[in-house]
This record gives sequence, structure tokens and C-alpha cells, in this order.
Amino acid sequence: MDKTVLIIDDDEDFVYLTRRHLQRLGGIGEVVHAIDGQAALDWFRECLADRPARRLPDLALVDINMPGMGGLEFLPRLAELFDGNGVVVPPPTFLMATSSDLPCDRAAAESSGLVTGYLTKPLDMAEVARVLAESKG
Amino acid sequence: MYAEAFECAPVALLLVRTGGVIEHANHEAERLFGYEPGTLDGRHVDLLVPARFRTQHGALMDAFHRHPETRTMGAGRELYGVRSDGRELRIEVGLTRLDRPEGGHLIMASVVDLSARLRDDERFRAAFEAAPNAMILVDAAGRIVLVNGQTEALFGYDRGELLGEPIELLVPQDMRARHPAFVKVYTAAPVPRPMGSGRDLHGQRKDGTLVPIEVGLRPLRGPDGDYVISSVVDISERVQARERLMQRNEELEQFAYRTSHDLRAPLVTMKGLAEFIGEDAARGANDEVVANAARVVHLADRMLHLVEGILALARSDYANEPAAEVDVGALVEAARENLGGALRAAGVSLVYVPAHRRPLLGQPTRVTQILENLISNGIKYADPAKAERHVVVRTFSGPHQFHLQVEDNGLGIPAERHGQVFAIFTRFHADRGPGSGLGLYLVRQHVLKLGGTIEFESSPAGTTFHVTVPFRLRTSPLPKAG
Repeated sequence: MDKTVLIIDDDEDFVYLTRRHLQRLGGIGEVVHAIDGQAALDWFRECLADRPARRLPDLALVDINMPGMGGLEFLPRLAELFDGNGVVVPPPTFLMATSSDLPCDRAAAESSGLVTGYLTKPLDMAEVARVLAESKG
Repeated sequence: MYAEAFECAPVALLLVRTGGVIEHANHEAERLFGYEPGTLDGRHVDLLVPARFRTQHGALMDAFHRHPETRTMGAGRELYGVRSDGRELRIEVGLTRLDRPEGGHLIMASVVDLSARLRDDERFRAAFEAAPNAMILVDAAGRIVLVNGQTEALFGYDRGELLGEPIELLVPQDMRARHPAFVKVYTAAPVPRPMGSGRDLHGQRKDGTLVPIEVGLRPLRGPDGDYVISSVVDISERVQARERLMQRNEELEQFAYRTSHDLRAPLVTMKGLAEFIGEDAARGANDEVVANAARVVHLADRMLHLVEGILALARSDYANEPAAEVDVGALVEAARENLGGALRAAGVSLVYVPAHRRPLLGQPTRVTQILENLISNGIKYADPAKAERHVVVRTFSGPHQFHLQVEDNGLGIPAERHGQVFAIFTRFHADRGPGSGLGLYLVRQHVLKLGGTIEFESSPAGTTFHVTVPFRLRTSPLPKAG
């Protein structure tokens, strides 16, 4: 089954580039874009409400520094949302995709318990492809 | 034969009668006191005593004749003789009574010239005193027996306070207990070597402060026992220079890492875009081609901006422009012109509120860079959520300093990042507009080179940078980087 990828990032250029790189990989159904953490939370809430008609994404790329809700604030809120909705289906694979390589950001991302990898921009698309292939599908 | 031995003895010998007349002087005595052969015989011995001692000498001589026993003359006192040319000699005199077979007695005086030995001792002391380092002579018991002026200067003691004291007086408090053991180890195998190689050594001054030192040790065997000469060098400057260098090195490493990362990132993206342009052109998707070409241009601009920042940084280290009065108002107007596009795009108004009475004195290029960077930061991090957006430049003059304040009502710097504001390559809203992460680092370097200070206050209501520059420009040495 084709996979769905969510990109949470305010940088339109980054979203455009990543979308095209993903499409080149093949096997991608839908690439969804959320402009910040809040937009992503809203989107997840809709998905959870409309289950099973709507699927959770297979992979989410999460930026850290965004003008609205940043990635580090978004992750724990999403964890709460999952808990509150008793999400037991395999959750999506979360990859941080950020230009920050500060150790404190890295540590904060890992402490959320949701994140499987931390990539810095520009993304290593081979790594993204590898993680995507291992995602729930 | 005995007479011949007397004549040729390598020691000056005088035979003196009761009453002080010289019966006979040998060759060495004549040579030592500078008389022709035979000319001392029959003269009074006072001839060889400096005039100021003669009265005293007469009395002492009488006393010896009454109680003659072999002994050293004038034990405990410094003895002097006088030559025929008037030059005085430091001497040591041994006295022996010789009984005459015909009755009565003679005194044999053996005279040793100490001048040569004393000259060596004086030379040693003079060299010790003139040494470029602090020199400390310590005896086998670990007590200070000699120090030079450099030692007084380095440790802040007068030599009177040091002589006779244990060397531990100059050892840091926490090392004092262990130090005598080190001394013992050294005196057991005394070879010239540096002290405590591989460890950082400190000396403790009279005021309790510690000074980093380097110590060389050398054993000295004296006629009266073993000594250790320590030569102590104050290495504060070397230690500071090393720390500065290490800090600069770390910065440089970070700089190389970040520069290559920040230059690589847009290049990777540009390569991707160029590939898309090729694909899109082949399938005739002209709109995509045009959009991606624009993205390439945008990224190239960003790289250019970064490279210019790096160049500015390189120049900031070498700029040697003379200081001059700087017209801050004119600089604000220049910034308004240069940053006009950005001001309009962000909807930010730039306001100048001068209140200074004395003009700012500084290197104009540095002040320009400071001001432009702070203003452009204010524009870059304007808060789109606020209806009115501004950057205000204020000036005022204190008694000793010019104050320059750049205030905005932008996004503010996240509180947890306040410690990194002036670090190289720090960006707080990384995805907002072009930025090299060099701006505030550069600003701080310029401020430091003007001998000034820079501080800031920031909250989500906005950020204010406060720069002071002294009116009297110091040509300060290289500021501490960082």
C-alpha cells in the first residue's frame, strides 16, 4: 500500500523539495503539509475522529523552530492526544528534520519518546527512504 | 734544609720578635705584601697592619706574647693586611709560638690571602642577584638562605622576611604538607631538573594569591653543606596566552564546522533544484522551471550573505582604522537606505532618538557594523503578530561613556538561549530569513575592540541591546575572545 508522509515545517522551499524527493522514491501515496505544530495537532485530531476511514501517516518529518508551535512543544502534546484516544495502532514514525544541531534540542526531542531519528537539514534522502521502508506501511 | 722549606713554603710566613719587630719574612710573605726580598726583615710588623687597626693590634700582640698558644688570629673578626702599595687584603692569620734555644721566643705568623676566595663569593652573589629570574638558595634542611630581588618582586616579601624561613612559605597552602617529602626526594637524588614536570605549579604570594610558575632545580655543593638553587619563572602571561589560544582554537574548529555545514546546506538544495529544473524542462513544465530557478537565486543570495559575513569577520580581526567622531544619526540614515527593502517587507519603522551631549568616538567601520547588524536583527526578528513593529535607536552620554541602545518589539530571544546570544553561529529563529549566525558574534567583537561593553534584555515583548563605548579610547590588547 502507498505510504503517507506528513511534513511539519514552515519553510515552503523545504516542503517543496522534500515532496519532490519523496515522489522520486516511489511508493508514496500522499504528502501532507502542516505549517506548524498546531496545524499538525489539528490534522491528527481530525484523523483520529474519522478513523478508520482516515489513516495516520506512516512517517512524519518534524521541524523544531517554527513561528507558531515548534516541534518540541508539539511532540508531548501529540503524545497526550494519542494517550487520550487510546491509540494502539502502530503510531507513525517520527523523524526530526531541523537545522538545529544543538545538543539540548536533540535531547529534548529524544525525551518525547516518539522520535526514532534526528536529521539535520539538508536531509539525507537515502536515510529518509530507509526509515520510510521500515515504517508500518 | 728547614730554612729552605721556610723560604719556599707556598704560605706567607713571618717570624716576629717580642715587641713586634719582624725577624724574618719568607718569599711568599714578601710577594703577598709587595716588598723586595729582605726589605721586611727588621721592620715592625705594624707596617703590614692598616693604620686604623694599629693601636688595637699592639695590645692584642702583647696579650698573645703573655699567653702564647697556637691559634687563629682574631677569631670571629675580619682581618685585614696592607700591602706596600697601600691596597688592603682580607687575610686569615695563624699564630704559633717558637721557643728559641738561646731563651725567649718568636711568634710565627702564617698569612693566607682570602681576597680570591671572597671575590668568587661576591661574584656568585652578584650573579645570583642579577639573574633574570627569581633565584632562591635553600639549604639541606629546606630553609631559605639566599634570595634575589626578583624573588622579592615575584612573591611580595622583603628578603628579611624570607631568610631562614622554610621554603614552604612560598608553596600554596594545599601543597605545604606534601612539599617537604618532595624536597627529600630531590635531595636524595639531586640532579638538575625542572620541578614537578607534567604538573601545573603555583607559588603563593605574601597576599595569599597564587601565581603560576615554572621552577628549575640545581644542586649546589658548598664547603659547608649541600644546597639547592631554585630558579622560579612567573608564567602567568604564558598561561593566559595558552588559554586564549585554546579558546580561539575551539572557536576556529566550530567556525570551520559551521561554515562548511552552512555552505554545504544550500549547495545540496541547489543541486536538487537544478536536477528538478532539468527534469521539468524535459517535460515542458515551464512554471516549475521558473519557480525553481527563482529558488536557486534565493539560495545563492543566502550563500553570498554568509560569505560576506565571513569576510567581515576576517576583516574585524585586522581592521586598524583610526578612531574618529562618529555621526550616529548619519549611520542610522544610511542603514535606513541600505535596509529599506527589508524594513518595508517586514513593515518595521526605524526611529532615531538622539539624546547625547558628547559625540561617539570610535572606528567608523566598527560602529557602522555594530549599528547595521543590530538594526537588521531587529527587522529580521520582527513579530508579525504585533500590529505596530519598530526598531528604535537611542543615544545618550554618561560621564565616561557613550550609550547606544537598539530596541525592538520583535519576537524576543527565548530565555533558555540567553547564554548563547553572542556565540558564533547562533540563530534563534533559524527558519526566519537569511542569516549567517555571525551577526551578534561580530557585533560583540567590534564592541570589545572599541573597549566597550554590550548587554541585552529580551522578552516576548521585544529585545533591547545596550552598547557602551568609552569616550577615552583605549588601545586595548586583543580582547578575550568568546
